[in-house]
Amino acid sequence: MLGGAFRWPFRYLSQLLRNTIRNTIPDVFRDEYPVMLINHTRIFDQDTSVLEFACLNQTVCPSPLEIASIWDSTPNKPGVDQAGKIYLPFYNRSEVLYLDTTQASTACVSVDAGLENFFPISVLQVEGRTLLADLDTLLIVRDDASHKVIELTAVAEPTLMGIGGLVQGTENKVYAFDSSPHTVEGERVALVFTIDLVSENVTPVLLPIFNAEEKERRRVQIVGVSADLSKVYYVFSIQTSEQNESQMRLVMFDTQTKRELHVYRDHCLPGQGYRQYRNYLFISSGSQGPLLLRLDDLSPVVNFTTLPTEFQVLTLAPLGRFFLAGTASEVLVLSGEGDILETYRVPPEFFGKKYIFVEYWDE
Amino acid sequence: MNRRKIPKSIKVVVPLMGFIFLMILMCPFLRPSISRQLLQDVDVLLDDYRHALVTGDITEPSYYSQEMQELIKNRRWFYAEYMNVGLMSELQSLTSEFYYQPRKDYSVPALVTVLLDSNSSSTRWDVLRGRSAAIPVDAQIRVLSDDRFSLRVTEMVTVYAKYSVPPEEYPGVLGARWALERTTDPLVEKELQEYITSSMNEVRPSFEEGYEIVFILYHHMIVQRTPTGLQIIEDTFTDRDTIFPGTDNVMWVDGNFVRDTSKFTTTAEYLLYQKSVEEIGKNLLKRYTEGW
Repeated sequence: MLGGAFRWPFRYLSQLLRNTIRNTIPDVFRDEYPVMLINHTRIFDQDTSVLEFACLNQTVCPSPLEIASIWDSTPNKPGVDQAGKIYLPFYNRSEVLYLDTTQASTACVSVDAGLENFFPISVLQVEGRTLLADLDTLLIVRDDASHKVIELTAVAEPTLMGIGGLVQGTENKVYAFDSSPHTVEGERVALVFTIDLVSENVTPVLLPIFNAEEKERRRVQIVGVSADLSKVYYVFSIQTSEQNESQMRLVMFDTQTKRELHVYRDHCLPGQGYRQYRNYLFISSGSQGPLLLRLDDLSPVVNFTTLPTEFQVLTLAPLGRFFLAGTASEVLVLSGEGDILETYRVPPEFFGKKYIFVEYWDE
Repeated sequence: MNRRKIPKSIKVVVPLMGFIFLMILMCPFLRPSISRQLLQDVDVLLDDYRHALVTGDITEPSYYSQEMQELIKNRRWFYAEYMNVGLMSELQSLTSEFYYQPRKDYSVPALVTVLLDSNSSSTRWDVLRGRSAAIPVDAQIRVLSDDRFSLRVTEMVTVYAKYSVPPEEYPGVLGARWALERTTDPLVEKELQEYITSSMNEVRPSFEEGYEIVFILYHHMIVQRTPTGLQIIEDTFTDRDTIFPGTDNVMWVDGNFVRDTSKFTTTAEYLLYQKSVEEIGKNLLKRYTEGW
């Protein structure tokens, strides 16, 4: 039997060989998805916003779009669906613009639920529907331009504190989870709403999370659930005894065995802004930059600070089975393993601007 | 004594795997290293660049390509023009400081730290592939060819300026005076008077003593070795960060720098001066009247 000192190299050697075999057939980006950026400019004295598009791997690109509104029109997680239709949700209203780029001239259709005081943070495009959620209201915009508004406070028990995100589930289901944990009959639980996209019925579900006695955990925020609801992901702050400083931790909790299976540690983990796509948990952008972790073990896919880019990576977005990573001067197509497959130059007129990626969600 | 015979295949495979493992571990150290002399030369180069920007005096033209010399002049013009047009101020002086610390990746202490630190978010596999998260990256030198390399550094430019408009002529003050003449409501008059006083108090120090603003710039330079030393060929930079769009943006297209000057006319100060006194006055009157 090998001694402990010798086990480590062999364990990692076998892992290394597994990875090597997996990487022998590298993924290739063949322009199967459009790489598109949007730059938003607000013309303050005219109550108008202008959206300029840049298409980095295709010749046809939407013309600049002028949006007259007293509200700022910064797109919130815009995307393009499989049919080539661009959807543009916004941070401050219940309107979604749809651009049909497949025709000779771009056609623009507005769908507005007319909700007042609706400030959607979460956006999900699934099964041809665009779902928007603010802290307590869910808006479903169907592919026939009709819509449905669901007040989640009406179906919540315990009381909903605030929707933290939307997650695509299995079998036409979408989950909206409360970012704050609850205590029910002495047990800590996560409140999750299951939305059936066919019937549009909503069912609240309580999922167990860590033991309520662990009082040293502060600022606990639920940041995700797995597609089968068997895992809950949450972040919290913990006081490290030696240096008397706090550290953020991201945990994957198994709701069946009621055990924390994986932990990701970082001093600067944000408490919100997490999104899920395929088998990944990611942060698009933020004060600390983007983050990309594997959902099954919370291991980082890529360390953005060490990528050979001209400037630091500022933003991240899904692109089919790939990811887009953007710096001030470059756009990278990353494989699911974090390898750089393609590099595009940012157009000079977008350099230094706070451009937004047009996402592509592969279902 | 009954000794188990080691199979021949294991005799061959285990040392071979050990050798492969050792080579993978050593791989980063086998890369061509950046010489100490080069680091010293880069320090000298950056110090001269800083000096040229601050004084406008290019004493070592060989350090810069012709277009780079133009860029240094353009940078000095940009700060003066941005203060003048965008912030209605007069540039007094500026300072520059490069924060240059060569990247320490693959150093033995860093590697050991990551491997042994249980708090590290990096996996060993990440470390082996040069993806460790625990390694600081303040600056990078990347060899592009035999005589060219790229340089990633951070610069802090501090601009000292004086506001050009006296407090009495500040648009907000003029607008409030316009509004004062058109109201008889004592409460609105009181609010407008307080607005005038506070606005003048805010503007006065910037007008009389001046103020400073800081640009944190991220640079990506292309540097070439010449027979006489190093020469900066291109310098792409921006102060765009994870939160804010950039103001001081320069990128290069076909060997020429492209300067973004759109920010001059999008500042709140510039937009304020585009409004008439009457328009500002009406807005103030509306704000304070509707509040009652």
